[in-house]
Amino acid sequence: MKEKNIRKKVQIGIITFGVLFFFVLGMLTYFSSQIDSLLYPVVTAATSSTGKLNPPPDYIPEFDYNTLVPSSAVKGNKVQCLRKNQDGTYTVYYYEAEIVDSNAVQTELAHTGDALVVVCNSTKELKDGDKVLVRAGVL
Amino acid sequence: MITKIKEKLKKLTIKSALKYSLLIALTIIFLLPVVYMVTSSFMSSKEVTGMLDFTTGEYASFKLIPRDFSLEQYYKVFFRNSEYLSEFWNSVLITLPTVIGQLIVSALAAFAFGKLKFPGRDKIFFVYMILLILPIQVTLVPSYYMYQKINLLNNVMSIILPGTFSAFGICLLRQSVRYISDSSIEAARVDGASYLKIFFKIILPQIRGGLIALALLTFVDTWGVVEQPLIYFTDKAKYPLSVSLSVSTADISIVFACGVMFMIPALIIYFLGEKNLRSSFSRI
Repeated sequence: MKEKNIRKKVQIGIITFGVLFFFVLGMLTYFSSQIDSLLYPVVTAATSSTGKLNPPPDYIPEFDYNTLVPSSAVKGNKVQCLRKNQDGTYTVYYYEAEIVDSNAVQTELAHTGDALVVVCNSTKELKDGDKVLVRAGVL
Repeated sequence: MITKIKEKLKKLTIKSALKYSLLIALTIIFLLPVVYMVTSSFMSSKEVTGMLDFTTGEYASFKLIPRDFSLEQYYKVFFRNSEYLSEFWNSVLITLPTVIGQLIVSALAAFAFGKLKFPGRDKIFFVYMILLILPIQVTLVPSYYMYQKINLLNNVMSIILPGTFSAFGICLLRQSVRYISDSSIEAARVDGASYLKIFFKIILPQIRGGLIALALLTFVDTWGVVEQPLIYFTDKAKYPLSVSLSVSTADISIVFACGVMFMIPALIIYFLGEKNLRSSFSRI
């Protein structure tokens, strides 16, 4: 009888734990986008352009492929960039670039090939590999 | 308590000591991967990645106890990687209908194969037995072709349907049904009960243990399904968690916490139905 009672209590405990487990996971999944927006750094992003900061008099824009990015995206000799993941989220990576010229607003980098999506500003300090939320309408 | 242990130790012969040693050794061997997964889930992501040498895919060092106790992996799984939570629910979405479907189909079919008399009954059951011994890999390609024809590729039904009509459940429950005496069914028939009424009033209550055991086994089988989703699903967002834990692209730094999360429902189901599982297997 005593053993039966203990078994019943254990079963009730397991069922309660199971219900709580599924409930918590359900809530975490349902509110995952809200949790993401609370925990992930929110960044403003911009796409790089091509050109020259101080063009010489004989400058022909069509033949110039240097890359221009906002100076706020440059940290030392690295540029804070964003990579789009398969699930639509963005991850930060640092692109090591050769800085040709810069001013308070823009920095000129040696030709980078494809256009870069760079981080102009962020609500938190960013590390390589951090996932971020991109403020809408800036890409 | 201590006197009881002392009495038992006195009775311990060399033969039983050897038997217990072997059993303890086997238990350790079987439990070690689970214990390793649980303890590793409390390591920091850095410590986990440091354990594996990714250039060779081998362990750089094997550690069972975390250097620093950390909940980082759980934090990442629950709050920072919602794709793993979605995959967990994908697993539930595949497993739950399969378990329910198989219980309904198997119970009815087991009743028919075990108690009803109709032409070709044993021959049809023999065909079912052949299906039981066929490995799943044998039928993967023909099934793929069939699902393509009926537009079921990339659909959870491509896993739920074969699971629902699996031969294993029918064979398991048929054994439970055969234990029920024919006289009770005949008595019910004489009283004018239909077969459906006999099934619900006489058969189902008596095969309850078998049903729980089948639910448990189907759950474990479907919960850990890997090959079918990999082949039938083209949309990775539909993959169950079992696939993500098995493929090499999984994030190794949080894979242990994911494993623990994945293990909990199976453990809950096991502890709830363990008694019935044992009694059901003793009948086979």
